[in-house]
Amino acid sequence: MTSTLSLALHRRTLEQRQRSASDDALVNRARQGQYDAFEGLYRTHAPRVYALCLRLTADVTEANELTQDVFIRAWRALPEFRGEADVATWLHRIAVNAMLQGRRGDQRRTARIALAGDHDDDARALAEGSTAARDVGTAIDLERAIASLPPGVRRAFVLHDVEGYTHEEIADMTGLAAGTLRAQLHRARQLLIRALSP
Amino acid sequence: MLLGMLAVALAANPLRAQKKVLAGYATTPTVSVRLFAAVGSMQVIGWDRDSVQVSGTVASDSHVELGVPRSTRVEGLKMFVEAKSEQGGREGALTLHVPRGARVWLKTGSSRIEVTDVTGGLDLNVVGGSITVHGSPRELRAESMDGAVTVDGTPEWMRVKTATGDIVLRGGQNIGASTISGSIDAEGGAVDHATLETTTGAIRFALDLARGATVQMETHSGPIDVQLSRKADVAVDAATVTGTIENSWSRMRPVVGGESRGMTLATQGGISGGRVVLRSFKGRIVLRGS
Amino acid sequence: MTDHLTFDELCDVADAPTGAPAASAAREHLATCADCEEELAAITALSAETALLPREIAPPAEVWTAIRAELGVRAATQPRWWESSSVRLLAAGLVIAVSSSALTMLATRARREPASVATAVAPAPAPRALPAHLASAERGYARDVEELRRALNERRDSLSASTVATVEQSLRVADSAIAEAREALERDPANGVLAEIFASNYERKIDLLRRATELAPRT
Repeated sequence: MTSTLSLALHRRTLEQRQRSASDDALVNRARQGQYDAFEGLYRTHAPRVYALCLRLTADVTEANELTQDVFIRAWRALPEFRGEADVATWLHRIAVNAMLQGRRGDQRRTARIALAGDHDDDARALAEGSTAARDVGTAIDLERAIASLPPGVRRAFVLHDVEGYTHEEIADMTGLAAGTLRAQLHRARQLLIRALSP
Repeated sequence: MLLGMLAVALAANPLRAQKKVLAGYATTPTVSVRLFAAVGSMQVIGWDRDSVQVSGTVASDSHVELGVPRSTRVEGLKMFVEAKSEQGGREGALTLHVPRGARVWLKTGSSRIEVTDVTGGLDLNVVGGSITVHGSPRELRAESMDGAVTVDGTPEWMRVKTATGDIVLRGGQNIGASTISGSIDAEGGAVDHATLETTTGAIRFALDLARGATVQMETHSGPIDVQLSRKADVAVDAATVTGTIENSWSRMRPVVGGESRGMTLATQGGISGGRVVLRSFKGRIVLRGS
Repeated sequence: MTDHLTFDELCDVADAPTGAPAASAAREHLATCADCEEELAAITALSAETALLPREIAPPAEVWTAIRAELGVRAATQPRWWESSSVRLLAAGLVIAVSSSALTMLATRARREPASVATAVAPAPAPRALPAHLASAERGYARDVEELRRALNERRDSLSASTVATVEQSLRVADSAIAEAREALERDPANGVLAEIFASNYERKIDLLRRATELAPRT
C-alpha cells in the first residue's frame, strides 16, 4: 500500500513541477482578464479536476456541473490566488469545497434520473479515461464499486487512496476529525473488497 | 380502387398490426423508471401505490424489454420499446403508472407525452411530439425538437427546451425555458427565478413575482410582452439594440440611444425587491401593468 | 489462531511505512495467520488496482462551453472585478466568436445541403484583424461546433427526415441571428447588450447541436 501510494505521489509531484512554470504565466495573464490564458489553464487542469469530480459525485451530470462550478469559482478567485499552492492543488481544493458546500441553486439542481444500472455508464466513462493498458473490465468493476459507496466513505477513499492526499490534508479540506476520516477510509476499503469479491 | 379501399381499411384499424403490453412490479415509493418508448403516444400517471405498471399496445414487430427486477421491491427499472420502422414508432399507445414520488426518465421518438400527478422527478425527451405535464413535479426537464411543451403546474425547478415548438408554462419556482423559433408563454403563480430566451420566438410573461425574484428574458428578434403588477417591488432593466420599448407599467419613459444604442429603460426597486432584465436585438419590448 | 487482527489494524499495516515499529507486532501475527495474511493481501490488491485508475478524464466539450457562457455573458451584465473600462471591452469581445466569413460559409453550406444537418465541418475561422483574445474565443466556439457537427454527422442516419429538417431550419435561424448580431458588433464592438445577445444566440445554437446529437443514437 505504502509503495503504490508513494509512487502515485511521486508521479503527482513530477507532473506538478512540469506544469507549474507554464501555469504561472497563464495565471498571471488570466488575472489580467485574459480569457485565452484562463482557457489554457482549463485545458491543462480540467481532466484532473473532472476525474476528481466524477469520482466524488459518482454522477456524470453532477460532475459536469461541479467542474463548471470549480472553474467559474477559480476565475472569480484569481485575484486572491497568490501562488502559495500550485494551481492543481488550488483547483482540487475548490472542487472539494464546492462539493462539500452542497448543490445549491438552479445550477446545482438536476432532474437526472439515477438508476442502479446508471453507474454502469458512469463507470464506463471513468474506465475509458484510463491510459494504462490493462483490464478495462476490472477498472469498470472498481469504478462502479467506488460509485456505489456511501458519499462520506467514497469521499475519504477518493481523496486518500485515489488522489493521494494525506490524512492531514483531507482533514484540513473537509474539517473531519482524523478518527472519523480513518474510519471512513477503512469502511470504504472493506466495502470495496466485499463488492469486488467473486 | 379495391386495393386502395383495402389499404384505407387497414390503416383505419391499426390495432390489427399491434400487440398488447402488460407488466407490473412492486417498487419503492421513489423508484426510478427509465423508459425508451417508440410508440405513438405515452401517458404517465402517478398513483398512490408502490408499484409500476406499464400497459397498452405497440407495433406488432416492436422489440419490447420491460426490465428484470433484481429484488422484490424494485428501486430502478429500465424498459425499452424499440420499433423496427419509423412508422412502427408512431403506432400504439402506452400507459405507465408509477408511484407519485417516482423519478421518470422517458425518451420517445414521435410520441405525444402526457404526464399527470407525478411529484418526483421528470426527465422527458421527445423528438417530434408534444409534451404535456399536469401537476407539480419537484424537478422537471422537458426537451422537444418541434413539439410543444405545456406545463400545467408549478414545479420547484424546471428546464424546458425546444427548437421550434411552443412552450406554455403556468407557474414554477425556478424556471428556465429556451427555444429557437418557438414562443414562450408564462402566466400564473409566483416565480422566484426565471430565465426565458428565444432567438426569433415571442415571449409573453405574466407570472407573479415572489419577493426578491430575478427574471431575465432575452430574444434576438421576437417580441417580449411583460405584464407586472403595478404594486410589485421590482427594478426593471430593459435594453434593445434596434428594437423599441413601450412602457405602460410605470411612468418612466424609455431612453433612445443609450448605452445599447437602441432603447433602454431602467427603473429602481427596493433593496429586497425583485429584478427583471429584458434584452432584445430588434424585437419590441412591451411592459404592461396589472 | 483466535485473536485475528481487525480490519482497521490490517489497514494500518498496509498504510504504515515498511519497518515502522507500530506495525511490527501485527506483522509477527501475520507471519503465522493465513486468514489475516489473506485479508491484508486483499487490501494491498485493492490499493494496487486503485493506483492504476486514470488520473485524468477529459470532460465533455459542453463543460467549457457552459463556463465560457457563464463568464462571457455575465461580464456584460454584472459588475465583476475585471470590469475596468479597458477590460470590459475585452470581455465583451470574447463573445465575438466566428468571423462573418466563416458564419456565411456555415449558413451557406447548411442551405446547400438540405439532406444533412451535419455534413459541414466548420473550418478554422480566419482570425483576420481580431486581437489575440478574440481569436482564441473564436477558435473555442468553432471547436465546439466542429466537434458537435462531426458527432451529429456520424449519427445522422438514425434521425428521421422530419427531424433533420427541423434541425436544419433551426440552425439556419440561429446562424442568421448570429450573423446579424455579429455584423452589428463589427460596427459597434463596445456594445455590451449586443455582445450579450450574440453570445446567447451562439450558445443556443451549440445547445441545439448538442441536443440533436444526443437524440441520435450512435450507429
